[in-house]
Amino acid sequence: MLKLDRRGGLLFADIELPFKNTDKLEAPIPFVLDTGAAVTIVDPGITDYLGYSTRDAIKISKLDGAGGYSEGYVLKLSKIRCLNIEIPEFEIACHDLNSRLGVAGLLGMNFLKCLRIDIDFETGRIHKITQK
Amino acid sequence: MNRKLTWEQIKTEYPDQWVSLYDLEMDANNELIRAKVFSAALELKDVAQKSKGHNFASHTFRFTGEIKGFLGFSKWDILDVKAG
Repeated sequence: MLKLDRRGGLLFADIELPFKNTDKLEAPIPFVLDTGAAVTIVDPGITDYLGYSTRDAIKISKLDGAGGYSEGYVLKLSKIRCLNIEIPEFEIACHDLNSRLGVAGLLGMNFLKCLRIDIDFETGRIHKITQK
Repeated sequence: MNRKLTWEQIKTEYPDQWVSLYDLEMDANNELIRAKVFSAALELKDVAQKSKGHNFASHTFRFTGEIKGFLGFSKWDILDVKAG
């Protein structure tokens, strides 16, 4: 049974992102499962490590909300894998995330909307998950 | 940093830091059991920069401290990148 990691009152899911120009995926990195984030957000420290830069940006990204205002850029990745679900041609927004809070990225609604999922929020256990 | 440590040992030896981990051992639930620490830093970008260009067979980044709360972003606007 799949399980989300509960820390600091948040739920974390392990996400795998591809290195630039390869099929190799980085081993799972915990991202906050965040229905309050319209898009999946990745700290540029991660995308830089994977070989991407601002030169790969396809759009400018502006975020606003309870977390404040932030400007960044959008990358189109060949794929993303999380919770045993793989989605090709996936867009992420790269924004500095004050990493001292311990968060490397947010798994946002542009990924979550692709799922039908049954989560026990108290335990983090996923009882059922399918790709829509 | 060549020793393989348990996740609990890593949290104790590198408190409240981002760590770059390689040679990972995961359990059946994909939870981290043991790994070697390649580098550690307070900022994710620093630890990621040190790890760049190394061809690890298995690798990940983890934060060893407590999560102190995080507020997301609900409004997302995008603009097409203009060439030139």
